[in-house]
Amino acid sequence: MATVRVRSPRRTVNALFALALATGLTALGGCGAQNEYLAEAKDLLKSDKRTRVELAVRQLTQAAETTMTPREEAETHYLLGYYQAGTAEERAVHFAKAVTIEPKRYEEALIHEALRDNVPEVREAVRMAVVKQYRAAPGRIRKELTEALEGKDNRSRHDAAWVIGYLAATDEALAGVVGDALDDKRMETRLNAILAVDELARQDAQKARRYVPQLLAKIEAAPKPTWKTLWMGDGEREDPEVRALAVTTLGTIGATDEILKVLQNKGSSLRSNAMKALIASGAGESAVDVLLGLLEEPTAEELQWSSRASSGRRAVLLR
Amino acid sequence: MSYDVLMAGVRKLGKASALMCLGLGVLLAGCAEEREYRDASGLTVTRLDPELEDRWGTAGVVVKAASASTGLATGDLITHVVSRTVVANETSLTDALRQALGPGKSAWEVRKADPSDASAVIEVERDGQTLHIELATVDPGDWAKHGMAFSGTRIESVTADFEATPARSPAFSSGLEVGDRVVAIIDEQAAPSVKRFREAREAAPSSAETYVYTHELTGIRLEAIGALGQLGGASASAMNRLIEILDTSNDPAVRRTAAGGLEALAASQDGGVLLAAMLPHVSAANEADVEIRRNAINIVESLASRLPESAFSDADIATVAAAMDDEDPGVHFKSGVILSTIGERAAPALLASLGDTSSLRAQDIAATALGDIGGDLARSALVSALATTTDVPLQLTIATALAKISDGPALEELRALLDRTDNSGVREFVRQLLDTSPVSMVSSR
Repeated sequence: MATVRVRSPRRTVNALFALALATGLTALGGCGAQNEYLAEAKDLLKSDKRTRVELAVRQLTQAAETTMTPREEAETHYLLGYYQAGTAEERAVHFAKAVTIEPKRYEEALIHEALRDNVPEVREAVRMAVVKQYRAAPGRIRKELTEALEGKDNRSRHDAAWVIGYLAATDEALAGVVGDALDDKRMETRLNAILAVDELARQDAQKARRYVPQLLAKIEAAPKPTWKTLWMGDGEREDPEVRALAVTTLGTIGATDEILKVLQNKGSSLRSNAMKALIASGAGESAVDVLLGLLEEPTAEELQWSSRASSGRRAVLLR
Repeated sequence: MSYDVLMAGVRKLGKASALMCLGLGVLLAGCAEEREYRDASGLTVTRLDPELEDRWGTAGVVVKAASASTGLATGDLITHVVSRTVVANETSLTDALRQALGPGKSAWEVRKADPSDASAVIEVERDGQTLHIELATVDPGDWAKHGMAFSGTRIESVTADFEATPARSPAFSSGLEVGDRVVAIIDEQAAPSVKRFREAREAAPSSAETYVYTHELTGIRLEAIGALGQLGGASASAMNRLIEILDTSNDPAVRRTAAGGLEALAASQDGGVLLAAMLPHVSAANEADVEIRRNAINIVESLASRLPESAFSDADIATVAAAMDDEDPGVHFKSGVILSTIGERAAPALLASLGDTSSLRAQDIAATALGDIGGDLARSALVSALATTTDVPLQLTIATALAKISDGPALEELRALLDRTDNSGVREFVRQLLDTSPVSMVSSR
């Protein structure tokens, strides 16, 4: 019986990436003699062989047991971090070795390339390695992450926010970076800064509470300006997407009181987001009274005088 | 170009610029005024979040500040300003109606363009009761055109000028009756913006009582009901409100959301009240919405697993037993599970269903439940049913139930079935049951 195998698209993407990476590293490293196992592994990764990853990992493992130049050793561990099946922790050991041996090259590679990988374990492992390297060289990593967060590349902003939020739980300098980025002039940076707060809240909700006033300022600001509203000088402006994410993040932080305020402002466009955030916040029974209050209000269909009168409800008397 | 011409041009340009600046200033000042309004009572309203305008049909103004005595709270959404003018005679009645309908409104405008602005609610007294009747096509200048004739504020005819065709009389068709006494005219005006709110407040007659309608969005109400289920936990007030909504709302979406919310709450509630509230919704005779029946049966199942069997009365058991014949698999299978969980107290109802040949589905589910309960009574009933039924799927279900009981008489009956059946499928099925039954393996070798 013939068996047809379909290649996973993700593996194809990985293969292309590895090919580009290997080519780049080769170019950087010059065309001199190279550890034969590493060279064979890179050739395999470039090939179309069905079992190329397994074979390449075998070669890389053998390479790691031989004597190599520091550059070869770093490259070997970097590729093992990518391709050797294992937990995030196991992969992180390889990435960390690579960046320890050749920090300059692999700090950038981890933050701008490896962090983009689609495999969750790889992304997690890269973050672990970056966090470890941050302890060794905080200035360089902070600069790299800040530039990524404030840069033009959307994916880099997103990835940097994910790492910064994680690190900000234990690092005051990066917590300050997040605070500044929340008020950045670029909307995309503000958006990702909120994602960083969200990630920080997942690590330590209490520490994320310091950003609640900034998030509330965004929520209370009017949406995106139009020419008309700009001419009218109509107060502070914020993008609707940023405002919605700010409400969601209040939920991750567990800022129940603030979410309830949004929910009770019936003129806000963010009440539906607030309802979801309220559920996510784990507010529990403390929110019941507010929810019951919302259910007391009639809907548009119930607003006729006669139905209000017949249902025993009374309109609010002003004078 | 001479110097004078040049200077004249510069002056003209200067004047034009000054006029433009002045116009812009006036525009900005005018628009700024409309973002917020504070009335004499101290009620301050502001406009909606612009993102919300024209979304989900939302229109109104938001309370920014209000004194506690009004009953309004910050954040309330006001949609209408309502004036109620008490009338003492035909003159004040006509004036109030004219005020309510506004100048220049004609019948076709009333119906097509802006019903909320051009209609009036007439508050009448009839046999000691107060009624509110909406009259949308009134020309207050000529009462006969809408069919009404008055004596003072009492209606003497609702078919004036429409005697030949009473049904065409607006007064008659709106439900007004001869003898009704008009007490007040109520004018509801929509307040979709701060400007309209201000105009409505300022236009209200000084003699009128002024009310506002506050409003909740249907979508938010649905979400609030769902959230109440998610967050309500053991709260009795959350559960009671959801039960009330389920029992009283006419909106299927609202009822379904409430039923889903109750299911989410069920695990945290102590059970008795919820069980009593849910059982009527298990029955197709009482509850037409199958989704709600599913929610109800799931809740009852959850409660049956942790409440003592004494929590179920005989009537409750009968209600659940009746659900074995429900058309929905999500309901009828669960009803069998609940009855087997209740155990021997449910056996009589199950035996009755097993013996009732009018519903194969109920027989099938009852057989399974009796197999789960076990005991002499259940086995005897299953044996007896197996001897009489010719329905093959039911035979297989009863055989499985007997195999589950797995005592001597049950296995004897299975062997007897093996001997007497001509159906090869049944023979193979029973053989496998006997082979896998532990008692059978010992006794048959």
